[in-house]
Amino acid sequence: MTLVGRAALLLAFAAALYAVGAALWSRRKGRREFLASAERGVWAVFITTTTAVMVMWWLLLSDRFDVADVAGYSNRTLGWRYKITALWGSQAGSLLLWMWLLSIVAVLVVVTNRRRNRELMPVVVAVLMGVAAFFTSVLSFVTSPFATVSPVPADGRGLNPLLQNLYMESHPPMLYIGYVALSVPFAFAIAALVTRRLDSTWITSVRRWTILSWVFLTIGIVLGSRWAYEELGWGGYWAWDPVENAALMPWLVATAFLHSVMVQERRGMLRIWNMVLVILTFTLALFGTFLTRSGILSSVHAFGESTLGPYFLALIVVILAGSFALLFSRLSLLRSENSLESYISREAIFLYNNLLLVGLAFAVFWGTMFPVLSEAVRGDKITVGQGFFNQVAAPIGLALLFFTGVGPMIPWRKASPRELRRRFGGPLVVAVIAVIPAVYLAQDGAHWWAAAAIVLGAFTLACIISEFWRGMKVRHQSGGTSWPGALGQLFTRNRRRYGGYIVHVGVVSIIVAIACQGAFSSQGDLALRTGQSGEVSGYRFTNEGGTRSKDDHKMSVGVALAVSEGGNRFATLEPGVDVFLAQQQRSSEVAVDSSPFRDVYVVLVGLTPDGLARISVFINPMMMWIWIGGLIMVLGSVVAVWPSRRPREAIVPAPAGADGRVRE
Amino acid sequence: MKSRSRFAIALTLAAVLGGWLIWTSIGGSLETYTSPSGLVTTSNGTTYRLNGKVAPGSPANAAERAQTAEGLRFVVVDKEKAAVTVPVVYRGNVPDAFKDGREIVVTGHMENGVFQAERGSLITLCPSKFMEEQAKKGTTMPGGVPGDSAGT
Amino acid sequence: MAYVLIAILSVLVVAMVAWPLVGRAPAPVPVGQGDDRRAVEEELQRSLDAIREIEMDHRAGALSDEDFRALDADERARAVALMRRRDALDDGAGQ
Repeated sequence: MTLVGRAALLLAFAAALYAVGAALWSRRKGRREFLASAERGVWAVFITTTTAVMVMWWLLLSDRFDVADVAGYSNRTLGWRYKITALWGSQAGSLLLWMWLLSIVAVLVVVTNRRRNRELMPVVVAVLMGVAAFFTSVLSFVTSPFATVSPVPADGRGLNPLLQNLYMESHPPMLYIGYVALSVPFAFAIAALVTRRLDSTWITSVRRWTILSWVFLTIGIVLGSRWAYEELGWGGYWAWDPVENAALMPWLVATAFLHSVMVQERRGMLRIWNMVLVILTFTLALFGTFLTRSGILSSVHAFGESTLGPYFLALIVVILAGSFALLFSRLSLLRSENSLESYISREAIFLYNNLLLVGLAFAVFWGTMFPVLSEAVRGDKITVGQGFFNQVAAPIGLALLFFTGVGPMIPWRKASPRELRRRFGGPLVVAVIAVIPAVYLAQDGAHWWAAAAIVLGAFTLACIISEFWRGMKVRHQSGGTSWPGALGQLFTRNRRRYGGYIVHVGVVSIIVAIACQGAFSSQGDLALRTGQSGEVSGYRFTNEGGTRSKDDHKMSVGVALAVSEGGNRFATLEPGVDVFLAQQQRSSEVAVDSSPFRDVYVVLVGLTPDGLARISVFINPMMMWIWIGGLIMVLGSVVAVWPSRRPREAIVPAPAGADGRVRE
Repeated sequence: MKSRSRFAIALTLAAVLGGWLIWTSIGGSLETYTSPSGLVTTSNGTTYRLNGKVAPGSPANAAERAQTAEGLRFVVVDKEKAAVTVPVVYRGNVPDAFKDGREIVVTGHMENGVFQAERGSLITLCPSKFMEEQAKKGTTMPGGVPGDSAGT
Repeated sequence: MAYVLIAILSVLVVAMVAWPLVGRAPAPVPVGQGDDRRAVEEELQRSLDAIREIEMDHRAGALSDEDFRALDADERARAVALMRRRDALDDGAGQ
């Protein structure tokens, strides 16, 4: 069967190459039928890649340990769900998943554009299939998921227990969908540049795909943090690790694009900038894959022994150089239709927001690559600690929070000071009120970042609420609509705007929660015998006895802890440690008591035979709001992209003397 | 508003941001990445991130020892030159994956021939068989990220 | 078994891509015209949305009368220009 898998990937490679050639050839006069053929080629790539994936799953499910990736990432006792997950356990397998998702995305593009964008499609198909050809060639000639081992081991090595949970099953595919979907905006941007059709034709398709990708990247990043928080047992959720940064960078630049594209739609400005952002997001998505696969940061991450680095680097260089050369040759076609009239206007705020987001992405890039750069320049490998990232991210995050509140309240083009005073009156009052608890919390001065986040968060939330309030009031008063009806109308009439505001609510929630967790979290270690109790940050923990058990797979120890505050017992936490016998791998089972204001997070460090339990306690304020904020962001973006039946030209656009004909 | 002045302002902003980044990066905690054989054994105050493997014979109850006042004592072996070793003293959170033979990174400085690790700075690197999961995934396998410096 | 599967897959792939070239190809979708029309239409819709939004913002008291008049007039002029372009495209296609 491995032969079928290899053949399927080779066929996919051939079909992808053919599709590139046929698509480009079809741009010649009288060769249109080759576009149809190229689009069939896209389908062929999809079918062959799907075959390869199915073969791989079949090999995993039937315990074929003669296949290296099956032997390395699965074993007989692994449940079938994790055998499926084990597909993206290996390097080659994860690239196969990437390729499979790309083939699905390419088919979706072909299907949805059967009657649209016909002039762009040859180039779109060529770009997508060019990327597919790269991945299939790597999968065929560099790292094959179907490589075999001999002698055949009796059993596989199994999947890392840390990865055997729902978050790990779901979040790599989520991130990969996010990465892969970014290839569509890139393909359309290149197509628009090549064909010189730089009007707004390409924008709509591009925007939808970018939002889709953004949603999946968001889900992937949040689930990944949640995994780190629940499974790794160090009390935190984000460590500015290169692999985390790899997902964050494209997310930041995609966020910038989703805002600046509105400026292009509304005012015809920032057209070059938007092209740059689209090219950068896709490059960063590839760079993310490269970073985690290349071994360039192996010293920090033991991804080593990979031969993929040079290939990915070459691809990234080709894409960057090619795209920017193309962009440069079309600069004259991308002239701005308008110019900035005021530095206090919606488009100016979007510009600031873009500079901040891209600046933050650059800072993350700088910090991530610093060891590599310093080694190249000075010979020493110098790493930057988390301190660097936190120092840079905190002020930029706060500035972004501020603009999140201010942006939607400022009109396009220009704002008159009198209006500004009127609009920001309410939110400013709220912000001033929020200063009181913030100053109280930051009394020692060390936590002024968190205090600022609370004040800005309150201000931004007030801005968003006042936007909703104004919109509802107009509809309520003018149409006689009920208040809930008015709220519903806001969403049906202008999904994008009000869905976007909901995303902003999620952003406020996350930034404030991150700041509070960072500033006010506390930690303590306790060593308790049965019946003893100890205190951390006002919470009292009493050891109510340990448990030990053992089965075929693992040895488990646990301890029951009564948790009380001010004499009031509110929870029993039972942290434990499993030791998986096959891998001799420890896995902490943390116990968390969540409430809106704080998480009590307990790790069992060890339990001696005589009943002494050592525990680490983390009190994390506001943690819950990071996950809730993530959920709100996803919901808001779903609202924003949900297709709506728009009322057709309900108003007559007739300035005096113009014969604006009303259609329909 | 001339587009030229707009450009100039954007450029200035970007330059200021870039300069400030470099400044914080230099001013922040820079750590030299090294292996036991690259370690300067005289205590010169430099902060190192020491990378190597845990020598056989590390305590089985490592996590518990690291919480005691004496701390966890273990030896780090150079990945390439098995003869070069450095003793380490560490306190704080120990990652689940810590055991003999595993590759680790720990931050600290040399003092009287002993590597004094910073609290909670111990990180285990993923053994190669698990490395990819990491990649796709979410995070490293840190176990030890300084608990007190997470955040601002 | 494996070879049969490979053969089937190869034949399938070749047949798929070759079909549009040898078979009676369906009339190719005309290039350009439809997309120009759609681009203008989409831009027009955005412009109309903008007019509606400006109107709502004004009624909500978010825009002063003076600002409203300036923004509204400009946006309406843009919408009218787009309608003209659309109609021109339609007339061109009709001839």
